[in-house]
Amino acid sequence: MKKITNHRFKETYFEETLDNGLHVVLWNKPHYEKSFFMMATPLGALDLHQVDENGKLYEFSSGIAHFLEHKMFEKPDHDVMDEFTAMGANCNAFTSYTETAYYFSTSEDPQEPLNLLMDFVQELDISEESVEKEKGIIIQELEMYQQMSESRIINETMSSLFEEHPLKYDIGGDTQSVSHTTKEELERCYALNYHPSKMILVGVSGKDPEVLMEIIRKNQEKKSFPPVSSVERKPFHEKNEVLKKEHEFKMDISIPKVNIAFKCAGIEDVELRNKKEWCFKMLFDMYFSSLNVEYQTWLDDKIINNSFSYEIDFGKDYGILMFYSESEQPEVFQETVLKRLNTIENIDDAILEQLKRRYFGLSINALTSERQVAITYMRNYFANLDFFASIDVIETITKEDLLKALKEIDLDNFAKIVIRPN
Amino acid sequence: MSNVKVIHDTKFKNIFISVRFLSDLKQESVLAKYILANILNESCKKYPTKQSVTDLLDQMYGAVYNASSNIVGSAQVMACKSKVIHPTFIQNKMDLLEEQFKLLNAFLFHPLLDDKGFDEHVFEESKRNLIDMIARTNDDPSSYCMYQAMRIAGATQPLGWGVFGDAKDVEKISMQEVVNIYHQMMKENRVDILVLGDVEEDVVQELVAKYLPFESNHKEILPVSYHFNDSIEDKEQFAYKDISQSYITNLYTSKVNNQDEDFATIRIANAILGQLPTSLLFQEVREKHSLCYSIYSALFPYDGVLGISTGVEMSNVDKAKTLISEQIDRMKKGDFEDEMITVAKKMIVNSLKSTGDDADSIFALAYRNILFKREDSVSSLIQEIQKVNKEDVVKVMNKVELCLSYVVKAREEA
Repeated sequence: MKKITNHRFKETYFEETLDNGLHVVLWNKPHYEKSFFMMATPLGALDLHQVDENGKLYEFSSGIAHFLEHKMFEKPDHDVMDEFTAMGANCNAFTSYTETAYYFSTSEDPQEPLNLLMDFVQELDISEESVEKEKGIIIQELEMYQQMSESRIINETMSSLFEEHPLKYDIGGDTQSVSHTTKEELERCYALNYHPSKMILVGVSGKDPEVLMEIIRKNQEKKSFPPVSSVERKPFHEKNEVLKKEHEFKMDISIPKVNIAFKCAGIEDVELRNKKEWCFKMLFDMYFSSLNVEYQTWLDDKIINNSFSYEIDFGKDYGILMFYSESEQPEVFQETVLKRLNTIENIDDAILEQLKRRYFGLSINALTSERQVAITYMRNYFANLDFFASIDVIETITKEDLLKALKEIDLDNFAKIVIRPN
Repeated sequence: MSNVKVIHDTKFKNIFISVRFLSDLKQESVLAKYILANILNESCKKYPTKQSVTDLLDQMYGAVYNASSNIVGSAQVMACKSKVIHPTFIQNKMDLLEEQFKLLNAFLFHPLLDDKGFDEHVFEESKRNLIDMIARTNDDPSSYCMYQAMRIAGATQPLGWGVFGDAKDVEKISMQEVVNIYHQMMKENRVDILVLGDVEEDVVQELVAKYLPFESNHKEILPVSYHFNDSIEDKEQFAYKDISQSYITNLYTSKVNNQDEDFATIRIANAILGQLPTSLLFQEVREKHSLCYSIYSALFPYDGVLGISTGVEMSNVDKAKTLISEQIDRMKKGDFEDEMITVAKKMIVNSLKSTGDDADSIFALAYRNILFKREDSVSSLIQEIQKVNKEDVVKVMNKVELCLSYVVKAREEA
């Protein structure tokens, strides 16, 4: 077990890769009552076409990772959630575009639920009947998100930006893909993606890390897993241009919502990608927030309201920059965003330093949330990025970096999505 | 002198301060208080623009400051919170604790206010923010359903007054109303200052005396918990929206609030009914009948109200309502396994034990103790939970009565 201490943030964690390949990270939080454990696989909503070492292609219905997440909790005679509950532990899971994660928290001794977490994630036992029954629940879940205008506008943005990339699908798929999902398909997907050598187990706890690691080692030693080929997401051709430049639709809402989304090239190198994401965040914090005096004018002119926000998301094969607001003037909103991006000529060094100071404080705040620590560690691990290095890079960013990032945005390559009231 | 509560804890990386002003809940001034919170959030004399406020918070290493007005039973609480990182994380000599007090002083004691009132511009923007928030909440069918139910059931009682209200009512609020409320708050409200982190009590006391010298005369504590009574004749009401899923909110009078002896019992009853994956509602409506993705029950602890919420297909509304009512009946008859009591206790104890890991929960417990003049601790609350038996649960559930069942129906399929 290797001990890693970071003095800048005053944090310590331990890590070890077990014989079966499972990577374990135990974050030590002295005096915390609550323990949080998360087991995750890098199987996300984007992994619809996977290719193994021998070039064999596996094709799955959209929403498969999410469907599998639902079914993992079911055992032939009971539901795993009930078991966690009986132990006094809260348990849940989520599926994102790039990973599926199962987690629990408890203020009691974590031994029992920790064993349960490993046991249930490492076994899939489902029936045809239960797969059929789950479809109704998942479709209700998808319906629920469709009703929420905020999540709906994101879905519609993705399907306007991408033609081939699986980002065009909702994480949960759609009614049709869910209805067509079969038991065999779920089992095939599970076998390929849930081998311990592909997964990570992160714990954040005040309990003795030696004791916790021993519980995990013992649990894993008694299990055997058939060897599995490594798989990769099948590359696909996505054109550079957005699929649909404009998309409008109506919902039962009272203020229109608008999203301007730029399609950018993906960034293969993960450190570069992380740094570039910070650069965009700094740029937008400088020019699209209260740090810029114009921001108040936009509010006064009702071009935006206080729902205004931006998102930055890059992967190895995609890049998205989004500007969102409720606005009675979607067209003016578009012009304002474009004009602002178009006229950034210089970067104020003082503001750059100010933001670095802010991000340092916010990074410390983030370290107090067990859940956030676990999620960030897991994401960085799958991306092959060091946890603290991903934050420390902020200090190295110069104004030249920001101006370079800015130049990389193709200001003609965006989609405008508007939801108007009925 | 203000009431100061310092909670010394070395495990946090931050220092948290919460200044709380307690006042009566008056229906006519609820919205004006929301606007005041927005104004106090926005700027002050020393930091008159958004930009200057952001600069200040950035200089304090991403400090957080925010003012909000919250309904707590039959009272309204203005909470001004701030958070900084502990000074041991920084190299320079900035005293972040003192800076934090200076910040609260600037925003609370020196707002952008002159003889004519608050800055007109900030006042109008605060109104607009509230109007937009009302619209946003109404646009989300599930919160619309819950809030409409609270509004209708609680038309004459605090339960319904705290819900954001109508945009037209916001328009009508005058500058003078908000100014009066500010002065009242500073002079008459009971003020409690809660501080948490690795700080010294005497240092904090000195800083409070220097920067937060409230002259409040109003020291007695208002009663905040009350018993909601049912006055609705038409217990089945609905509205239409252009949506594809329908939403149900049921509100029940429980006649038990968090000052009552059997509050621990109703917490357990609520957990068995609809807080856990093993709960009756989740098991029957979602797991057995696949009618919904999410269904839960929740307590309004200061009001003595229990609520149930879910979203289903329009064609399944009646079936879901029947199933919900069947689960309430089962609770009343004791038709659930004894094991469920054990599980509910474990889960509540688990959540109580984690109180100490989270600043908001620590403050909430400390403030409740102040309001109720009690000295509850995590362990005393756990003891109360452990004492509850099945008979108690059945007895407390038999006090529960349906007050209103409200449905937001999908128009297209109707």
